[in-house]
Amino acid sequence: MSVLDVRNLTTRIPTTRGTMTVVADVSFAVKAGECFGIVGESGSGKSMTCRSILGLVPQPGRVTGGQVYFEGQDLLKLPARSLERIRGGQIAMIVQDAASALNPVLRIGTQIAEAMLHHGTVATRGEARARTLELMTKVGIPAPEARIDDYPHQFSGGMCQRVVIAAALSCGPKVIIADEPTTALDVTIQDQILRLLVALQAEFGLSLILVTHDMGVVAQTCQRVAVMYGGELVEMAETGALFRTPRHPYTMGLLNCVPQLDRDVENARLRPIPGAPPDLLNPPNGCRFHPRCPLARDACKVSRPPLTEVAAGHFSRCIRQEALTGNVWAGLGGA
Amino acid sequence: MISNSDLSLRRGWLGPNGGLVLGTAILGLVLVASLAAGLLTPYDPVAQNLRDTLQPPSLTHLFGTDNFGRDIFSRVLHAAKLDLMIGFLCVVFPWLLGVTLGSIAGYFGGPVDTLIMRTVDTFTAFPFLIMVIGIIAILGPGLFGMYVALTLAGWSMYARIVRAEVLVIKKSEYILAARALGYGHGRILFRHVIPNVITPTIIFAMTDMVLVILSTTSLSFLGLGVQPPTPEWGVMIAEGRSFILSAWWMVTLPGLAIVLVGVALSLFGDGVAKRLREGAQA
Repeated sequence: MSVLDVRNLTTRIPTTRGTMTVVADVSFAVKAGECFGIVGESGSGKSMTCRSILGLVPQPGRVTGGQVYFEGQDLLKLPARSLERIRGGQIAMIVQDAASALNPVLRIGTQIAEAMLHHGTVATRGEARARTLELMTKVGIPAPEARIDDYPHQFSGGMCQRVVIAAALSCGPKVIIADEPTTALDVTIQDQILRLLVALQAEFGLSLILVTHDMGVVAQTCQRVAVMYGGELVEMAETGALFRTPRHPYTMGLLNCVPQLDRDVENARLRPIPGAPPDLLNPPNGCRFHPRCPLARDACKVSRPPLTEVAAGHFSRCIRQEALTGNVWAGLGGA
Repeated sequence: MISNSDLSLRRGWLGPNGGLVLGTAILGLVLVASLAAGLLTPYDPVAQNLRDTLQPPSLTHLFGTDNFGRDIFSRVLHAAKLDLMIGFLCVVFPWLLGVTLGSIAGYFGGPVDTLIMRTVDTFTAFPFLIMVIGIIAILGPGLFGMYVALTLAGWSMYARIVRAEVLVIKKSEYILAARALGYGHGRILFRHVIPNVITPTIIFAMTDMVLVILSTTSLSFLGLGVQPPTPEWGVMIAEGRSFILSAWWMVTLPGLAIVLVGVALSLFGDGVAKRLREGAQA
């Protein structure tokens, strides 16, 4: 049973040089209690997809097509007021840089409590304070009594992220969208925060959408994962299947960029994908990945490949499935 | 090599922010003296005594008397209360108006922004004093007209400063986070945006205060602000100007009061501004 069902989501941003399609016809569904990963390079449309779901596309961008079903209603058709009640209340978002995601002039306890008071989760300030202390303990902030009246600048990056997570959890949401929650943190803290998110997800039975550019993070936390490239969703599968048998050359390229300790010596070098991400103002015809793809044929340049189910629950937007054997990137790039 | 003591010497004999200390001290003294005017001098500031006109400063009349025999020391003290209050309110009103409109313009952007900022341009296009006098000419002289005129003439700078700050702040992650928590625009604007953008406007208000005090006394001097017989420094200078050769104290002593308060406000304003700037950098 899916909690959040995104269908054919398309978001465009008009600029003086033309219109950019930053999210192009993206469809996926997130199941209850599932951790769903979205990976891709910078500018691939991951964050824009998240913001489109919540109606937070920056001006002058606009969602131009598609539906986002949450509990039977299309979020994109809701009036602003109703959507505000869902944001934070039902679907919470954790933004990238926790240190700057907190208002510098408000005490952290106030910021966690504000969400609850606003959404009516608690009735009184006293109750809000008690709940806030409880949440701070839950997200692993030591000595919450002593820290509830501190300001954000008195917190480290990791602690700020815990505060942000506490605020996101405060109203008992069904879905949490975490947009690169660990990017601004160092590696040991990253690991702690990911473990915390997974633990909380299990405890509260939440669905988690985890946006990242780190394949390692995906492997560690997600049950299913979608790969985005140039605003399109190019592959979607169970995490295990995606890592074992990727069905899109771009995914294969991404996996080549992950260091592996057991790789033999001649393959030990990391192989970056040659070329640059597509210009969204003027995307390539056909498959958006064809200019960088080692398997590209003339057919790839003509029409946009459909997202097809290549194995049970495994979708890929590549028409050269028969050629996807071995390492398609061998002999290219890297070395 | 510079030692710590050298540095502290360089910062002046009243500590690192001596101007603030001195300015606050003078202002405090003036304020206390004006509030305690009834205790410091036995004379009624408006009571005429036609037998004692144009007395020079003496022990009975510290600042002398004017052409109606009123005690100038008493009038100067009572005027301080009024002038400081007008100065304060004529900074607060434009500040409120400017911060509200400027932050709305910056936050919402688009046609709202265009409308508000073109209005700001229109207001700044007129020279300050010309516009103030023009508005008072429409509303009629007096306190009310002066409040309205100084507010309308002064708000536009605050709006500009705030709008520029809001344009930066509204793109920040915590505003996005606030939107993601489902807060409405009003709540975000007044609770999350404005508290983060007012510091530069307060710094500007501090320096603006001196200009406002000088403007209010100028307007009263011209007969457009406070009306006689209410004691006010500008009014007193205006009344004394025909006696400037025979009774110098009628013009000079209220004038010195303006200078003293002006200097104190400058020192105080610059000191507070410095503190706020240092706070903003930390």
